[in-house]
Amino acid sequence: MNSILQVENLNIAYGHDYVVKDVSFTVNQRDYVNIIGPNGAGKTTLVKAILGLINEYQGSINIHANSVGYLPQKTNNNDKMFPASVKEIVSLGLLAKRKYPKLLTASDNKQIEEVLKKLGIYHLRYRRIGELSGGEQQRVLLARAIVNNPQILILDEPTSALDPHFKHEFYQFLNRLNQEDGVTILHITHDTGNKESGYNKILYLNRTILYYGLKENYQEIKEHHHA
Amino acid sequence: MREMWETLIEALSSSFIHKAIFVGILVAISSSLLGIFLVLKKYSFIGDGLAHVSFGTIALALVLGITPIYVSVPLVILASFLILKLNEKADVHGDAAIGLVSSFSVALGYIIASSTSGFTVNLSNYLFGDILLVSNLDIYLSLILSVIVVLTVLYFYNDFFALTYDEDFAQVLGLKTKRLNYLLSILTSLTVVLGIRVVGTMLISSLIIFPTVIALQIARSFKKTIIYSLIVSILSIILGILLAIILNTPPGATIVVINGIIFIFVYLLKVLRYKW
Repeated sequence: MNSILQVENLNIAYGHDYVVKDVSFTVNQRDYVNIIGPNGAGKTTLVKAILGLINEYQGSINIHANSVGYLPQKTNNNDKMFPASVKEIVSLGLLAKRKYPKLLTASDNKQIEEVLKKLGIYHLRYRRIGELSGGEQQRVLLARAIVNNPQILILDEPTSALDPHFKHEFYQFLNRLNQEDGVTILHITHDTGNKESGYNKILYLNRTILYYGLKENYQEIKEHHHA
Repeated sequence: MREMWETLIEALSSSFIHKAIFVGILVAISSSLLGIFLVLKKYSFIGDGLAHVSFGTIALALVLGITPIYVSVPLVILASFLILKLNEKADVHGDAAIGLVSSFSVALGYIIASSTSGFTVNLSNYLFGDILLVSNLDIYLSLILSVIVVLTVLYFYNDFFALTYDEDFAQVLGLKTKRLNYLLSILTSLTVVLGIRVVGTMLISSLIIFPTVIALQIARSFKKTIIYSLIVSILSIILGILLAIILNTPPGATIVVINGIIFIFVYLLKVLRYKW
């Protein structure tokens, strides 16, 4: 199996406090990894380092993918007056690795419209992003994350703002992305008991890795501990 | 009334008014193009701060006997970098950093102005500007600077859009966000220096803020906000200059007041549309 992400001896500290300590793991192509752990365990910090949002760390992070999609917990921009339409926000996902002046082509527009249809938000395409509900905004951000057909999709607890109906659709959608399109998924989640999620591996982080491997083995270890 | 019309028609046939309108439109285009990024990034007052800095640089230029724009462009760009650095490295909040750099520059400019007699009248021209007195040099410099601003914004449009909406995501996309912020600062500095001739250091930030805020009341997309703000900006400059001639009022202040009236009108229109 080919690896798509290798993290080796990763250490991230804020001052003298290590938020991530001696973290090493390899993610293979088509893996669907649920990253779990208590609050303050360093999950978001780890993901931010992988995404290149944190550059001050020791160790190495190697990504063997042309494109990475990212879905944050919620939109970073809470300005209800922000004058961007849904279509404009999704188009941002196509900007990576484009040559200047990065103009959108007719096929880009088609790609954007297809993703909007796939996620059931085509009818919202001309609405201002700030006018939408939390759940609708999450769908827009998911569309932005996958419009570029990423090889890795990284999600940071995106389900908290979703309504139960779309949560079900959301997991089905991720499963299809992983199983049919072969997208590798790293998913920070608190929703560990969810039966709909098609993940195959678990990374249990509490500043350092407490478990990384197949979900079946994690269950065995958990049951063993309980016994 | 007839006298007013005659004054206007007579003024319209003279070259100084053509020059004023031409330079005014150039400034309107540059300031409204940048306005959307600065207002939405909550950096509205960087225009005001840099205008205060330019007051200091103009005082220095007048003492040295150099055309102010040659001194103002590099020093205002440097000041904008200093504001960003204070924000990044010294953990000074953006608005506080603007306040520090701008008040220091005004203080320095005032000391220079008061220690040398003879040019205080000149300096006051720059406080409120006088677009009706633009020289040929002003026209050439305005043309060059505004072409630089417009082409750069068009070239980096999508990058600036990503940076304004979500800086983290822009970084994930591989955009050099720090460099883009510095580029935005350079363009703002050029626009501020350019706009001082039109409305002066006291009112330049209004040209950056008003058209965008007016456009935000009605536009439903980023592109439309830019288009509406361009229209408002150009319209207010032309109307402002013409009204200033008819009413014999200061042109810079008239332009700002017209922006204010358009804002009130558009805002009321929006409120009424929601109510009915």
